[in-house]
Amino acid sequence: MKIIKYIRYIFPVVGCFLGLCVDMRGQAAVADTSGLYGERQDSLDAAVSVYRQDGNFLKKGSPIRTEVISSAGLHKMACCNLAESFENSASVTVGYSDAVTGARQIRLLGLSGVYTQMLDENRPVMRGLAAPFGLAYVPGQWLESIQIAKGASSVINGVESMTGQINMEHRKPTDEKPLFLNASVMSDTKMDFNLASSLQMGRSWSTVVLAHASGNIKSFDHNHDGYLDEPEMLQFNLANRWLYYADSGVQVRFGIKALQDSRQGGQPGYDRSEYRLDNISSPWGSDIRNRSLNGYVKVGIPLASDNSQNIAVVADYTLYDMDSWFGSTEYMGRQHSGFFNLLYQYDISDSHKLTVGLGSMYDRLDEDFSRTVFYPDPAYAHSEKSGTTDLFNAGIFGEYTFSCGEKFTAIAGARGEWYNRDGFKFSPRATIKYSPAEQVTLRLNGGRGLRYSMPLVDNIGVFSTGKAFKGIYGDHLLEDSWTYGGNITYYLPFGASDNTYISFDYFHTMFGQQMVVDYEHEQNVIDFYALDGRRSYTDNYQIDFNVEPFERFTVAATFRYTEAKIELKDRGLADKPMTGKYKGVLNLQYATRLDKWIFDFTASVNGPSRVYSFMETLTDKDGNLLYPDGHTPVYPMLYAQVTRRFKGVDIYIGGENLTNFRQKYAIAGAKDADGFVNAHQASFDASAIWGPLMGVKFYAGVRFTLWKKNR
Amino acid sequence: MKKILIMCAVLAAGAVSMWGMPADNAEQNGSVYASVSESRPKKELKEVTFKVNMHCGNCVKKIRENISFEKGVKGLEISLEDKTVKITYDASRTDEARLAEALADLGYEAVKETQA
Repeated sequence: MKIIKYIRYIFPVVGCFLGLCVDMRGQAAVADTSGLYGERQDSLDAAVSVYRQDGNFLKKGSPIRTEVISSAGLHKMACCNLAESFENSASVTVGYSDAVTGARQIRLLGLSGVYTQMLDENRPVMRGLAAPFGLAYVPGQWLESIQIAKGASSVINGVESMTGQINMEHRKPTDEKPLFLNASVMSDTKMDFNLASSLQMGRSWSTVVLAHASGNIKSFDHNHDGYLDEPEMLQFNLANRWLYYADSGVQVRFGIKALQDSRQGGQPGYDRSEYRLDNISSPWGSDIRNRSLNGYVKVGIPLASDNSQNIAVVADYTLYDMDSWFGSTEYMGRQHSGFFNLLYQYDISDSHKLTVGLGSMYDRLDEDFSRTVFYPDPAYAHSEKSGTTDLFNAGIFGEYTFSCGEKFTAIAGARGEWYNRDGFKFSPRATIKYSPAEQVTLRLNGGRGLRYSMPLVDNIGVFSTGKAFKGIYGDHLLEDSWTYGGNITYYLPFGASDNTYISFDYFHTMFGQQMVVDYEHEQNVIDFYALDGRRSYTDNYQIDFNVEPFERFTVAATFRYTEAKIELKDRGLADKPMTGKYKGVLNLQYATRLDKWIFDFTASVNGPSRVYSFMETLTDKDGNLLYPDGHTPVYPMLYAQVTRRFKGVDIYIGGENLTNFRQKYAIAGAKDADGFVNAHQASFDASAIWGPLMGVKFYAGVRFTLWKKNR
Repeated sequence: MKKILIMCAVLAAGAVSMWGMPADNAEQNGSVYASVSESRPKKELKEVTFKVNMHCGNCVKKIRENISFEKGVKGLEISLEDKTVKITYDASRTDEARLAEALADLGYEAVKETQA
């Protein structure tokens, strides 16, 4: 209490003077470039009357098509973690990697989330080993907002963003909230606890402590297939971030994050030390332990009194350990990842801005992998990989921005880098934003993306199968793609707010090189091979409509259509399997005056996807084909939440998947006499997931916020 | 398991009981409120606009999240551009001085704006 008492006396507007103000829609007004300095325009100039905060919206001024999920958007649902925060969005689709580990993966522009660069306040995160479970390790209640930028975005943080960038803004050290607590419980026994405390110590120092614990006490097998619907999980997550702001304008931000997570799924009773492949009565399951430690520092030094020139250094290090067992498969991985950026930013005039710098990424991956399955050819029945791999790139980059007021912005960027396994690569990118009239915004962008594939961890679901691995599963191919597209947004002159718009997007991604993970080349085999001149591309079309028909009632409707094609060995050009053709989302929100009651309703419809060829013959218990036309069924999802707000306290109750739709027969393979799929066979596959695994869930939670008093 | 069920029940019961509380949206409509509560004096809604030394969106958020829940506050409009906070309030439950005091508690100087 003493601390709280102390901070009551601290100068009240320190946070605002630090150039760290949050703009009117909940997005931190940090520059998209270094993330260290605010834009030159004074936030006092922002001419906005504030009534209430939108949930999801397109960011008006951004040159790149950017969808923002604000803190209000993050409160529309349970949003226990980052994966669940995207349920309101048609741009991002969230699915399970498999039926046992609980790993979630996103899709942006119809492609796996590994092609989307994840940023934590403009630092690349969730890379390599940290990717498969990374979405579960960002508690939704830690976040202030999320920005989803589609297409080829800035080159400043590297060119790993092929389909786009998702940037997370956490609660800030400068937030005037010394204490935030959240507890929620779900009907499936999952519980979440979050704490955040932002403290300001004088004018220069501020810090935020973020803590999270979650887990489920019990796991269920509601569909009685012999496998738990979700693994038993226990996660602890702790972060501490600091900001130092000197009177000279120098800013230093640094922080650490520590994580530990364990999860056990599959058949109840799985014991990795007792499991025997040849003993068909020994339960099959997965046992995964993840540990991670991250530290970062950002330093910004102004070189001019008006902040028109500055230098920034960003350094980030992550140690990630994953020990995992899937039946008789063992995968132990340790990854050291480093990221370094040195930038010089020069705002030459109101029209011209230049950013140049040096950048590098480094991953040292120690792997110990061994797997034995039933397969007739002994050469493929066992697969293994052991040793250290270094993946490294370093180079220079530059980005030039030309602006002509708010009417026209053009950004030309390029990155020239040396990759330790592939030599020099040049990656250009360009962006144009043009507003011929106040109500219309046109955006175009395009450019190259490069990333090293990690075939096994990028496709963690392959471990939850009885299939043999063939090909280059131990290699790290430099994947190479080009993405281009655009957006047109038209602001309409009706509705209770000035944020009524209709928007249309088109984006095309094509791969020059890609790691193909082919489930269809041979029966009971997963073949890993390079695209090598074959075709792989996606076309995405999306329409968004946002309106507030009358005060405090908002309607957001969005629909995406995806055409994803890939040329598979001996099969030719085919629809990319397990990729939904379309998704539509309708979100309705009504709030009483002063937001004391908030009612949210979200409905989505998820289109069909082509199933793997081996799924075409799968039958239900009566012998009927599960996928007679070779496609998954169209299914709806409904979400509803009611929030009651008091001074400093929010109480919310809600439901997810209210139609109780579930993917039936999520575990594929030949069934035994009792109708169960035994995992001790080559046809076993728990990774062919296209729909929800859990039925209807209800939840209740409470948020407590203590605001800083200033006298 | 029992603990969780009890927790759920308590949270759900809390939410349901609040549903039954005098609803704010009913309160907001003065005439409705008055018609069901004849014994209380009819609400007199007043408006006051303060000039407030806000600086950025953080200030806006802080004011919105706190002043909205002050006793008697029925409506709130905040303009960062004009640096004004316009409050509609029930004169039988609060007054200008208390509202200015509430803003001062948050660390802001609030000066009543006089109409030209």
